[in-house]
Amino acid sequence: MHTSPTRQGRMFDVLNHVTLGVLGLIMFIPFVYVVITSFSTESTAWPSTFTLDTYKYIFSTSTFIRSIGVSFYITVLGTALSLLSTSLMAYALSYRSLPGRSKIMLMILFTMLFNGGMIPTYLVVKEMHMIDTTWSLMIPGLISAFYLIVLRDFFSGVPLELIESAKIDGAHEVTVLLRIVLPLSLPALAAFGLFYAVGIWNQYFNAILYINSPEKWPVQVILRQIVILASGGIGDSGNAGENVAYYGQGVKMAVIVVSTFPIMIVYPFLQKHFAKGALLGSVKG
Amino acid sequence: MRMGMGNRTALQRTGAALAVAALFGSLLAGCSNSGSDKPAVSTNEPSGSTGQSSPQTQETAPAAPFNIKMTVNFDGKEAPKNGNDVELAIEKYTNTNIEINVIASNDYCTKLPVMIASGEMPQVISSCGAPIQSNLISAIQGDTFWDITDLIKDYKNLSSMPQLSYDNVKVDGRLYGIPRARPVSRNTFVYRQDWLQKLELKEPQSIDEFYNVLKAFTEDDPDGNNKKDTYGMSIVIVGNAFIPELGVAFGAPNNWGLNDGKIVKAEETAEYLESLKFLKKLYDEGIINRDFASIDRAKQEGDFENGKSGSLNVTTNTVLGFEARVKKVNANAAIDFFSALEGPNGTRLIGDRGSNGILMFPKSSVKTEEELKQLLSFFDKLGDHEMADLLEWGIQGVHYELKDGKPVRLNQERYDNEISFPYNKPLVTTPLTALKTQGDLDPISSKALEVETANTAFAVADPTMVLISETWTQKGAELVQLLTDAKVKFIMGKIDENGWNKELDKYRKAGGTQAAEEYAAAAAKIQK
Amino acid sequence: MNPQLEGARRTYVRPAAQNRFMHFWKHRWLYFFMLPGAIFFIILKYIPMFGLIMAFKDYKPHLGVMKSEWVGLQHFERLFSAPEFWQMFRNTMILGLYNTVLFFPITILIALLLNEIRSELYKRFIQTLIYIPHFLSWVVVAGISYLLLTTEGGLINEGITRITGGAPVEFLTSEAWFRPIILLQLIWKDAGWGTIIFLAALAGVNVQLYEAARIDGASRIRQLWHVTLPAIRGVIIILFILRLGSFLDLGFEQIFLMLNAINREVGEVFDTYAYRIGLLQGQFSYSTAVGLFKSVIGLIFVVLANKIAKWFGEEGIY
Repeated sequence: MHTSPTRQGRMFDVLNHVTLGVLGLIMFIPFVYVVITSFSTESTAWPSTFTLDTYKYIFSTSTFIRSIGVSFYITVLGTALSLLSTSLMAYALSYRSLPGRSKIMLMILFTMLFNGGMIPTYLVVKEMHMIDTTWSLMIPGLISAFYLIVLRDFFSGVPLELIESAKIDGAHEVTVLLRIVLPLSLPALAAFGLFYAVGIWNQYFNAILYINSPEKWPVQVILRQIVILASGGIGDSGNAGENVAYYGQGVKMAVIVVSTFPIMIVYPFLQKHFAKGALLGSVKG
Repeated sequence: MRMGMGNRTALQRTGAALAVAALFGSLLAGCSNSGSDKPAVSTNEPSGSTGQSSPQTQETAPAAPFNIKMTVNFDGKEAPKNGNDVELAIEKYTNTNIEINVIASNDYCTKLPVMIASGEMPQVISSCGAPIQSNLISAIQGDTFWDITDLIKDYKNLSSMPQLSYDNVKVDGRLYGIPRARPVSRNTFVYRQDWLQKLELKEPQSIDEFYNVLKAFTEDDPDGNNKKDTYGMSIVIVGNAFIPELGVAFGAPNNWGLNDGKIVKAEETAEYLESLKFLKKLYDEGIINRDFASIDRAKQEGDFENGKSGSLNVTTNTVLGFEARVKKVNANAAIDFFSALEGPNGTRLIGDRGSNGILMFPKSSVKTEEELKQLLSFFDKLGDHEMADLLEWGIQGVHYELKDGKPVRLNQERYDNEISFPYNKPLVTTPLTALKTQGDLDPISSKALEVETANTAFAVADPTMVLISETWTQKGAELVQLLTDAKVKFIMGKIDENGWNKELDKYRKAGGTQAAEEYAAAAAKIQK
Repeated sequence: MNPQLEGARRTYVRPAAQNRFMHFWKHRWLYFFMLPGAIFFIILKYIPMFGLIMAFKDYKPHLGVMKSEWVGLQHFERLFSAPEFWQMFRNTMILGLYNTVLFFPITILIALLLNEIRSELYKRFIQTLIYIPHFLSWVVVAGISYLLLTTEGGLINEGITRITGGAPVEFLTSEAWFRPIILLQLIWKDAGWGTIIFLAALAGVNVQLYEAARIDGASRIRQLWHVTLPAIRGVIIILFILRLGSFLDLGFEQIFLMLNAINREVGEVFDTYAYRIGLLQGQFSYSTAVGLFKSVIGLIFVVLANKIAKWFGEEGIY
């Protein structure tokens, strides 16, 4: 964009680039380590052989492929539903003049602080007949009060002039939302979309709790099972004669790579929304 | 700014209404059960009668298959598909239709109370390890599960387990589920036999000899690479339990001791302190891993595998697995194992509970005693010869073949995935080792069996296994934590003997004394 | 345009007609929008809250919440009289403080630094790198910490012994090092993730404002102060208030994995305690009581913070 005119400015730039670079490196290297160890079945700290056995072991699990399908399905649909419902509510609440707004905000905040707990929530989910359905992985976490509150703040920042003048032109509430507020909030939507997606993708405990049929298990459940078995950490049941094939720490690492990779690569695609001036020209004033 | 509104408005309005309605709909759609893939025949109505047809067919032979729904803990890699060959074989032999829901053992303990709370349980449900959690016990006392004490003797296989296995899972003296029996004394020291040989030592018989061996492993370069990079034994703490727990070997009681009607905690005894001093000595001399307090099991086992440590305390059923792991890293390695060590008070070993959880029958889904008997009969049949072979060996031609009339395993991994984890481990109650067709065992497995049998003579029981103390139920976890922390600090030299005694005082004040008194009272009641 | 409606702040002039119904009706679409969310909150958040009664009962799963015996404040008494209560309180507070006063500003700082990068490519590259650790589980983080810090050949200790020739430092089993390690782990794992929301806010800043400021001769620092920070001030404040609400919520898994006998006194927090005592032993009532206690404290913090924010003229949460 512009080069810094002052010497201090340039020095700062260099320092900044270096600092961030070092930071990035520190944060990336352990992951590289994870990836490297995932290609080995040894359990030494630094492996010396390369093998695909760990990945083969994972992919040979028949339920694995299917669980990826389940995970993709609930992540895409769940994120869409979550973003939609959260946006609608956040938009409505961004109007300071909305009667009851303050009380509603307080009630939402309350749910962030107070939680009924695992068993009561389970009972409600059961009453709604969501047990053993993929809905149980999307609906109980449909709206995060935290994201709702912050998103509302983003929506509040949309200049009132734009909205008012649109309304004077006869625009309907829906139009305002779709054509003005949402486009101007794309960075926030991208951020929360990412947050929701990661949250749904990473779900493990909810799946254990609500889903009984192995066909509906998302990928994290399957992977956990593989890890527990492959690292020899079997529940100590059984008689003599155990001889479980052992794939070392490698499988644990491979599991991490497999379970995080799909969701990790979403971010780079969203990054254009986080660029400075991303909104320039999105709404002609 | 102008926007081309006009006739768009109506469309937008409809669109908005549709969007909100869709959201609405999805919330409500969540209400409808999207159904499972199970064939209608195995859906289990709470009235759980024999099959989908009317009761009359029961009187005519052949009876319709009995539907059984179960939820059990699971340790395998993948849950088996419905209708696989193994399941079909079981169903055919027992004339049942079974549907098994599996939950990873790790998470089972969290889900069990939820299942109890929801009131929806299948006909058979396994406990979460030993049935000692307070919420399970109160559910048992609250008449949630069938009392099978009097019924079990009618079943040949089910009643043939060692008495200890039954006794150690009783609640208030009654049996509420079929125990999945396992050896009472399973802890063993596995070590590098090739190191022992190289250093020209013998397998230790006593604690002193054991010390010498461990010291030699540390200082005498047993792997012959001229580097001091080995040590004697890897220890670890898992769930506040030391592995190995040496107290018993030194003469202390197993967890709690009963003496003349008085109950005392093992850690309070002088013998226990001796075992701690021993560990401290090992720590100070670098014979055990110095970071034992901050590692996990994987690291502990990893050190043994990689030839850094010379021994490990494990359960007998895993020794074979360790041999494979160690050999993978070093083909010249050899391992062997022993359990019994003679200590100052003779040879004493920790006596385990003798079971790996129990299989319970909730009254909410097993409505009649008749149905209960059929369930018991099912599990009893699993001990019959044909089933024992299926569960221990598999399907002929697939998992094993016959050589000179003896079964030989064809594919260990397949057996594990298709039979062992899904069916054998969760469902077998009476041990099948003696009931199946005998094959040739590898030396380690046969030695393991011998060791397990021989060990029963030295096993020291924990008298509180079937006793309940209110204080312990409430505060047990905290008190154990207190003691474990004190042990770690003592071994690492952060506190001395005085400090240890102070910690014991803290323990006693915090509920230890009270728990001991309550246990003693409960023990006295049972004696009567 | 109506001059009363100018300005970035949204105010709304009350219509002369005080008819409440008309007021509701005017915004009927907004209420319609809120319907799915409202249903969600009521059914899936408020209805389960009945379970909080567990904290006042001796909950037994087979009896259910309603039929379990009422014990009043017994669990709370037990909590407050536990010998380690003040220890846990102190530990939780201190770690919470580290979180709010150190971790939170660091994420903002990193976001601002990223914002100063002119090369969009480099910026995206770094952004991607720093957010990767978020995807590794705490188990992995604990494992890596072990590799670095153990006295038995940990990388850092190897370095220390070689350079200073002294004994290895017992990082993992030390009271003094526990909190710094937890903080560093947290920064490493989640700082990058934490910048995302700020980057989103920064992306919405009108670039022309920077241009205008530059033309007016503003230095970069002044641009930062007058353009960037005001733009994200609202987000910072909201996030700060929300953070206070979860002040006592520390990463349970993270701490649990790093706890051991030696550092327990500085490391045990309410969550780890509740896990051991409550969940492991199946005492749901007790762990619910502990959770309820934490929630109430969090509520107090949030209410206070919200009041203070409004007193300063900011828009609070409610």
